[in-house]
Amino acid sequence: MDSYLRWAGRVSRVFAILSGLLMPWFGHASDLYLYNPETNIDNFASLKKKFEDYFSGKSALGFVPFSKGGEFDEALKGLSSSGSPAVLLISSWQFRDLPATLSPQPLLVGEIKGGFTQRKILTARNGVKAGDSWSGKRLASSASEPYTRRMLKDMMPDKDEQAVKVIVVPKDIDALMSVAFGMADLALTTEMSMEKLKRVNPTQFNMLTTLASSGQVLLPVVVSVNNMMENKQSASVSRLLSAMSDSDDGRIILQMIGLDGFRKPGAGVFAQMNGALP
Amino acid sequence: MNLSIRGQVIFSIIMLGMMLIMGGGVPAVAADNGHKVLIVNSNSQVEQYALMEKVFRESSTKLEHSTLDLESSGDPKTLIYRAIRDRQPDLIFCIGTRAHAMVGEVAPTEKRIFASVINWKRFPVGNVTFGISHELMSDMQFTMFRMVFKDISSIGILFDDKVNKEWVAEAAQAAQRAGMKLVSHPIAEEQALSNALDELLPKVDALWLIADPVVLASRESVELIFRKADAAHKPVLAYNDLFASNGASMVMTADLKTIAIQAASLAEEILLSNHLPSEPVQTPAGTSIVLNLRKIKEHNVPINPDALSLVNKILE
Repeated sequence: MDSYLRWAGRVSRVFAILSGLLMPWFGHASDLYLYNPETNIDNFASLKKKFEDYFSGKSALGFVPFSKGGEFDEALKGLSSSGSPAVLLISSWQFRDLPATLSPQPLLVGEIKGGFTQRKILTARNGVKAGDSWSGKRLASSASEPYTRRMLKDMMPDKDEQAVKVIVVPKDIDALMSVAFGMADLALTTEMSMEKLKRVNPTQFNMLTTLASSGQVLLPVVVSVNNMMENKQSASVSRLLSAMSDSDDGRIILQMIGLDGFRKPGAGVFAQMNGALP
Repeated sequence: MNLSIRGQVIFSIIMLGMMLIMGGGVPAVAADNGHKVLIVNSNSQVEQYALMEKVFRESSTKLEHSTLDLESSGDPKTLIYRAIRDRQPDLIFCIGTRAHAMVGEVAPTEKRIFASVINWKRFPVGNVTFGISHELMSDMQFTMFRMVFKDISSIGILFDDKVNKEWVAEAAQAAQRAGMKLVSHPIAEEQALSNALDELLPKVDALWLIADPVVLASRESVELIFRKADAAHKPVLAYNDLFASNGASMVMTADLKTIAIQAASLAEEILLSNHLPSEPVQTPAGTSIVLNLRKIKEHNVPINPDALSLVNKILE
């Protein structure tokens, strides 16, 4: 019995040492929360499997996507009260709205074609002018309604952004085609989506006119909360997400969320998130 | 009981009132702000119908809603009649073909909006009927094909000339507008399917499956189509999720949530702005795409790098 107990004690000590060494890499069993009201990501079942497969063996991070702002806000309240560490993948303008109690720290920014910003474009059918009334007009957007109205207000402050009826559609290209074919009067999309439509179907593209465009908007950002990120953990999660563009599995995930990769931007970029730019 | 004359009169009035109310001769009196919608659901146990009702309600919060599920116990037409009589809706929202057909029979002059109705054109559309069709515009579909697939420029289609001739002709023009070519091959009977596939598949980059009674006459026909397309390494592009399990490389359908949002917008336009839409029936504004990556890899069909951001579901 004594020899058994001594053996068990030795094994326990070894296990404790190993856990302490490995924890900074595997981290706590924390989660990556995804909520991006700028796009209508609808493929959660596929996305969840892809993320979990990617994390498996590399990290203890789980993946928790949200499609509704209300549910995401409730999750943030839960994180605030529990103090549990987590990582968020969110729209850059949401960073400003994160409660200070979460101690949010930006880590990475999304990247498309080497850049980490994009512009939003307000489009209508040819013949419609920027000065026309919006009353009763239908606006198609793949972003959430609150985000859409916020962008409208930023882009055209003299207009009443509440006057339009927002039709939320699954993708930017749906919004553009809706305007081209009369299911909507206006569309709010990214400049990149307009370029894609121009390339794929110039006939439809030429049916549209640009009414307004935003300034450069940061792409989605990765943020740690509740002091998850001690230095080793921060570096570990940042490396894991930055490396997604280097593997086939990682690239598929990035394509599903409309990005080419994640990177740590230069100094000052994250300061924009607290400033005037959405 | 020995009542005075006054008591008898009062008693009679009370009894008469109760009889009228119980007999249904007096419509329910309620605050009428002109914003009441009766949602007639063909079957709220069907997932897509339940989703449509939920999203419609969430997207039309300025309106007052009540629901009638046609699967409730009782004769559906009687249920509809009573619901309209008692609730006095300003508009009826019909979810599903059954609801639309029955409301049209029971109350043909009541303003209504329909959604989730297959082939809505077979029903009369008067000046009180509005709706969102269930079928995507061909132009939208070809644009999506171009968005997803890098190298597909010619798409083959089999169809019954008697049923789909005009639709296919219009689709061919839509293909041209999108910089693609639609290669059509009519067939008159199921027995001609095998030879038609042998002739068509070598000439095209992909096969487009549409709802056609001759082409999809039987399960054996469906299996034959996918077997021959697989052997020729040609992806099949389908219109219904059911074909994903057969091996369709891509399935494109109208997005149901968007249809419900469009219906809600239509309802608010009719009731709040007192304005009847110039186009009574809209086409769906949103697309839902399922991509079968396993089949795409099997057929070595390249997709655009950003195609996955357009996809709602990936099969592997």
